[in-house]
Amino acid sequence: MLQESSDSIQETTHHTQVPPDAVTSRPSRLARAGQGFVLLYRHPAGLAGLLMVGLYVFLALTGEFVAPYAYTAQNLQATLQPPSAAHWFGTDQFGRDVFSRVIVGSRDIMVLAGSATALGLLLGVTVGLVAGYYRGWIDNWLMRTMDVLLAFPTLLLALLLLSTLGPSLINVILGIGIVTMPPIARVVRSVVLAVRELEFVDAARLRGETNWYIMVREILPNARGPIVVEAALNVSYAILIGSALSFLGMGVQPPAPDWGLQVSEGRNFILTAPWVMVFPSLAIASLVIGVNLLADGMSAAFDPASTSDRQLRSPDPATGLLPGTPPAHASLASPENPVLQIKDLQVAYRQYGRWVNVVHGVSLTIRPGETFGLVGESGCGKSTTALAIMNYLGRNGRISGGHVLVQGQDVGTLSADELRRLRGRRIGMVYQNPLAALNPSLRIDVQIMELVRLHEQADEAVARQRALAMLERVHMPDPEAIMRRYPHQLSGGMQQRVVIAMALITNPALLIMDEPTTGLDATTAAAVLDLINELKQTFDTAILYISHDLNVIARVCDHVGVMYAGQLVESGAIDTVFRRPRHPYTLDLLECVPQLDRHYRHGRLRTIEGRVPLPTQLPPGCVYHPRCRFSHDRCRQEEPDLVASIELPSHAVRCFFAEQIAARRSHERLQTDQDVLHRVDGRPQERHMPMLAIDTLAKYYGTQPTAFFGRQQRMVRAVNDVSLTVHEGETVALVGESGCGKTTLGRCVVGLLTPSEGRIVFQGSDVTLPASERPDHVRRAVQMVFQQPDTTLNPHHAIGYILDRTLQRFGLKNGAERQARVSELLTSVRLDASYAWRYPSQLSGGEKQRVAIARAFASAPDLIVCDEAVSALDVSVQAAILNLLVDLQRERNCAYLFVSHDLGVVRYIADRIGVMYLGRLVEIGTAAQVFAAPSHPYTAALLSAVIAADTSEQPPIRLTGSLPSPANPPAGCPFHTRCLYKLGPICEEVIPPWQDAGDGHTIACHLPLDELKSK
Amino acid sequence: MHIYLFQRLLLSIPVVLGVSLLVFAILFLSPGDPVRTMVGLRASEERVQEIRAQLGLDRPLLVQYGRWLGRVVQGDLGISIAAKRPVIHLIGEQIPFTLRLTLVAFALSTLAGIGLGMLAAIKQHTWLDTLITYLSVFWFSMPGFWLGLMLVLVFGLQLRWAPLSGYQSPGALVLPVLTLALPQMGSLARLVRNEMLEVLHEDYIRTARAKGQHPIWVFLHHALPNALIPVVVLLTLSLPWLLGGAVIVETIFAWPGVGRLMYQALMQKDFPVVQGILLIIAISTVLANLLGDILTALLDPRIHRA
Repeated sequence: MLQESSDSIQETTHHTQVPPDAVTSRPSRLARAGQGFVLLYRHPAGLAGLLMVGLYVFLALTGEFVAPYAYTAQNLQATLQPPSAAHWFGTDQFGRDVFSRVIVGSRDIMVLAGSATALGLLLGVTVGLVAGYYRGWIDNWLMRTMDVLLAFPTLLLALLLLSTLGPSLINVILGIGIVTMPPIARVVRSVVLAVRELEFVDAARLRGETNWYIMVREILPNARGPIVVEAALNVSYAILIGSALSFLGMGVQPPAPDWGLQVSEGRNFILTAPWVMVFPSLAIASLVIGVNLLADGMSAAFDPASTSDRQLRSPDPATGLLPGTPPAHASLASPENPVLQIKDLQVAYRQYGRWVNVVHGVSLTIRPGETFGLVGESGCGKSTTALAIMNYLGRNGRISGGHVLVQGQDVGTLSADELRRLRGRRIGMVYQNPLAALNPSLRIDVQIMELVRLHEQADEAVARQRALAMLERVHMPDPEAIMRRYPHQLSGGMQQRVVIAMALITNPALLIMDEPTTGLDATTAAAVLDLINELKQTFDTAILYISHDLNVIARVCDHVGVMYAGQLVESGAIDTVFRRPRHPYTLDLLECVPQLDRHYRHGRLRTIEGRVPLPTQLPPGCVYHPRCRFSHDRCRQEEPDLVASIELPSHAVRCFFAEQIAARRSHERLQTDQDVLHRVDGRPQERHMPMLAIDTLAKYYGTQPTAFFGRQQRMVRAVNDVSLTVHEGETVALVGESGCGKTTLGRCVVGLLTPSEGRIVFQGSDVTLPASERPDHVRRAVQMVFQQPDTTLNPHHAIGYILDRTLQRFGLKNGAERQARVSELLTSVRLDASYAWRYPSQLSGGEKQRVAIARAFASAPDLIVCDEAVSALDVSVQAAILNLLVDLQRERNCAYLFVSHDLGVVRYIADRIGVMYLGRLVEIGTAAQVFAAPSHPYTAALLSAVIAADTSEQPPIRLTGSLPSPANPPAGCPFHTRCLYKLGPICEEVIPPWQDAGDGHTIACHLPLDELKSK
Repeated sequence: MHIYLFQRLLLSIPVVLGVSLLVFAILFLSPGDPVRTMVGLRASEERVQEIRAQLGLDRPLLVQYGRWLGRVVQGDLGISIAAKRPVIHLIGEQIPFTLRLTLVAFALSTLAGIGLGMLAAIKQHTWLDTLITYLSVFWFSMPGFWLGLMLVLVFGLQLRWAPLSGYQSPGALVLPVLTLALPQMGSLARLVRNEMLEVLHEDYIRTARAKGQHPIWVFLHHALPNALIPVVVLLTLSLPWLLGGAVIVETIFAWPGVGRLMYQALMQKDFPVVQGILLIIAISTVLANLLGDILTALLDPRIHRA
């Protein structure tokens, strides 16, 4: 059942990925509602429920016309007759036809259940919405009231209400409505609490919407799924309670043909005439089952938890196997033999009930001690290839061709037991999200030791020794203490070290690392990469390293394979592939990534048109030709093979024009180098008044438990004593690691947060106010672009509506004029005007971000805060959005406050940069100033974290220790606990002064400038 | 963790007060003069005044509430109007019968529900899973009174396997226990299955499998403890049902328990008894919630080692 439902969801998510040009019609609301029915249709139990409920609804509507007798017609000559042709269900003690009474009774129960549910829904949704939206004391009081109601068993509460109010239909409805309210209120509240934090709600606040509008139009539609499911459950509940009340004589009174009443009356004749009781009982039971099945089907249709990719990984090793040829154990591993050999691998996933190939003929070889990087954008088949190596593809996936040989053994032919012995012992695995990869309820020692105990049959003491030794080898401070901790008690970097220790403890021949540093902060990631490089030297393990990040691949790998649409398009030694790429995709990828020596004035970033094709829609010929700038007719017709280059046999490329591209590349490279020679810098500081002045701003969060009494005041100083200016048309970037306060600062500027101290002056007037209290012209002038493309737009609003609403809020009254402006805005972000009719689910991440930019520009603002606006995007899309932002700034002279953790992006887009650490600014200057000496020791560490160790002359700077808690920041200089150049007590006690390094470049450090220069 | 539990404890204080206020208010919810309702229309005016004074109903509401609460705290729930005996004694006599019934039903539904739910999750995508899933929906869709009557009809009257009423022999427990336990078992099995499947899709289960652990070990050691956390909450929430959820079953099977006492008291408008039972049940619900929080905190290191 679950299988069915998740399959269907998977299909709809694929529906939504149809390329833009394929969708031309207007999707109506009706069509979207229809999608729900399609989902239900794929859920047979839900469909059965729908039919059963439908039958009763039909009977309720037609009751008297269908029933063979009037339900009140008595016939005292024919009492308690058994079922017959004349009376299908027999007759009751008054000779009334039971069949007719059951049919007509369906109306009563429908009216009762329907009204009671509607009432409960109305009350519950209102309470939940208000409590979740306003929070604070309103929430406390409302929810405690719900708790009081929930403390009474529902049937007792209903009985009580009826015994005091008196039994009648209205009172039954009232009673059931009240007892079903609290669960709905709770569900709605939890949805509201989650949704109110989403970015489209922030966007509504920034255009000054009323609370009422935000609750009803922005938040409520998103609670629709859970509300519908809960309501369906309540219908069945209302039927049960309603008939139980009638049964107990406290509900609907005779002579109504109520089912519960009939059961209660029939109970007296249970021996002599059981049919009087049985048939109405069956009616109740079948209706309730029908409603429950329907609710089940609907919750499966609405539940996002059962989405596709989880299902793809659904673990069932037994069924993922290929039917067996005998295992080829013959060749044993020897040092020269490759650890991993993939030969022409094909992997297929089941979609719409048929198998679709997602990996097409990948071949690669890794020898002991080698590190092979697999790189490409999301959806290229990298992770699938990794899972295929362990033969861990789940029920919906299989190896459909080729071979994976691990130390000569073909994993496709291994039995489930043999596969288990392979996993963990000979293949170790490291994952992207270490917190999710560790079991939250088991201690670290248990999780590491179980590997040793399982694969080496070691006893507890030996396993403990080994685990301790391994933790030391991954440079874990105080391993003894770490062993006793739970995963959530460790920092992200430490969690990843634990996962690496687990992967290596059995000394596996092959280590698969799937984006192991992607979720980590720059300096933490740098330390983990150092660790991987170190372990490579000491363990003779072969590593398959998967990443979307070319810089990371360059830092750890010897060989690299570039994947595109399930194919390996180029592979070879890291130097040759990255220095002299021969495939256009590799070339494009390399040029997309903002480098640390590139500024927007040097020229636009390379972008790749279009997007990665779906496995079901691969173009004929070369898979890359629709996006390739070098494509010829031949590429459209013939599919190129992966061919080794003539001068370098280890370098293989899947392109007809590899030689030309290699030649062209070296030519272009020269040009950019020349560009860099006369490096242009951020525009000179304008002398007149800054447009935005942030003055000694601070933002504290009190962490208060939501108790009635005794709130604790533990202040988190998210932003502390920050002063910053932004001039007209300028881009100022805030950079730093997570928790440094850069996002909080940005949100204070737009008014989504109110500063605890300090002032924000915009165009000469003090605007230190929440967005809702700012005057319209200020709200109009300061807008925001958010991080997450998936939550930046309300999924229930069409793109046109989103833009139109913004224009309307900012005073454009004329409808036709607004429509013209919507088209104009869409065009300005390089989207077709027809996108106005689409819904966010039909857009790709990059397109959503374009709409979000259009929304921000709709009010013709003077300042836009971009909060990690490109961080969630693939590199090619990121490049396109960065170019767009630069172009729009040029056209409209709008200033940006650009918040990002990515130094390359910041270097590219910013005129000036502020570096933040633990809530404080530590350095401000133009992009070139900040990226060169002298710089703050933290800035230097940050830079060093992203520069490949072998390309810089100096040894890399690595921070030790973890980020101090913002709740308890170090006194004096916030960085002194991790600073490599700490002077002494002065750093611990005195907040460092701002030192002027000339031309507006300032550094907050106790070290003299000369010393900072030489570091 | 202590702070967490302290907060929970604090949160339950206003709820207990609210509960007592609501229970107290029952007397005033019914239309007309509650005393008149109690003593009947034919009683003399003096009698009405006497009862009024006896109940303290001639005083301001707040004072009445305060005095009532004061007595309740000392364990004095008042005198039953019908039985003319202290309510606390009446309840005390009936509780053992209800507990005998519901504890057995609780144990049965818990064991069977968790077992079936786990079985369905292990055997996902097989006929066994489908069967268990559909049967769960079937059982928890059954109205309690219908189920009771059907069991009586089939096993008591037709097959004569089990006695129909009475409460002396252990055999008499069978039908009422089944009537109580089957719907609870159905919803529990469903919850356990869904929680289990959710946990089985977590990344750390993939990690455990990638370690080469045996599926049974992965299931019991890595998945089960995490899946049981929400199940424990559901179980503690069903504890109050041990005391008062048996109204229908006790009525059908003429079982002398608190549920039937409550039903009779409602019918006779014996408000002190109704108040007493409701108060005990509601406060035990609040305590059960607290117990649920404590157990969750103990089971989930993310709370107790925060």
